[in-house]
Amino acid sequence: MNVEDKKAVQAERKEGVQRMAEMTRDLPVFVPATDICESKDAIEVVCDMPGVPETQVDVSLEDNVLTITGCQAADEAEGYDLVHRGYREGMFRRAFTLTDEIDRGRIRARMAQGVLRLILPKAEKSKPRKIAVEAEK
Amino acid sequence: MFWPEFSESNSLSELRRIQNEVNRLFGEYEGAGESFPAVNIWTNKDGAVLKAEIPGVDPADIAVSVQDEQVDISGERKQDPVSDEMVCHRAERGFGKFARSFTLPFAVEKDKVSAGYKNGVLMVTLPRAEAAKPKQIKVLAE
Repeated sequence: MNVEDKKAVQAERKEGVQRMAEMTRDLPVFVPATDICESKDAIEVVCDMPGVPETQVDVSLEDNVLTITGCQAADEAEGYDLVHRGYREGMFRRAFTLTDEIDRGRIRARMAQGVLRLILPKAEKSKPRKIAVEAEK
Repeated sequence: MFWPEFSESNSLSELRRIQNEVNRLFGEYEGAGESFPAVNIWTNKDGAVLKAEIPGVDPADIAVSVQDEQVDISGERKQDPVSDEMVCHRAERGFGKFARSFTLPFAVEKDKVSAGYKNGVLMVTLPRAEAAKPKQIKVLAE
């Protein structure tokens, strides 16, 4: 883990302490289960947000903070009475602190089957560069 | 003046009430992760609706089967392919096989059961079997 990564992790731990501002709507806010994988070209963030239609997903980048918000569609069965509850409807929200190595202009987001996939490409300058060592004759 | 009575049976019932309350708090919501998928069930006199939060699964990998009052959901959530050069910093999303069974308060007309999958939520509509529908009996005056 390099210094940049460590910074990101620390920032995220802090995020847990500094609670985000409350929502005006009275909905429970869930933290989506997330996978974060890094390859040499990009960082991929995958969030589980079941019941969220594509139109209700908001990904915003402000300063260094990438915020993911998703509102679940109304989860009711009209004319029926609820007899068993295993989940509640609400909204998903999670924020990640990005380091400078991300190329902000090329971030891509795709939502399918209740799963949000974000591709955060790394900026050219932060990609590891191999320097060839020439042997002197 | 009103004095609350604290007889033994009263305080015990109060304790029981609190216990129920706490059980309800922890029991009502299964909480994601503990039992996957999380399921809500609605019923009315004509049938039931079951919804399950199963994000990121190919609908072809979900199986729903119905037998009398019992509904079974099973399937598999596949792991994303990870190449060797990738490093995973977080892996919170679960994967693997899942199965859950529910017993409804009535038998289901299995030929009329329908299921759909949208935005990562499975919805199964379970019409009540004609034979299991309550019959209204008229009370006649003698």
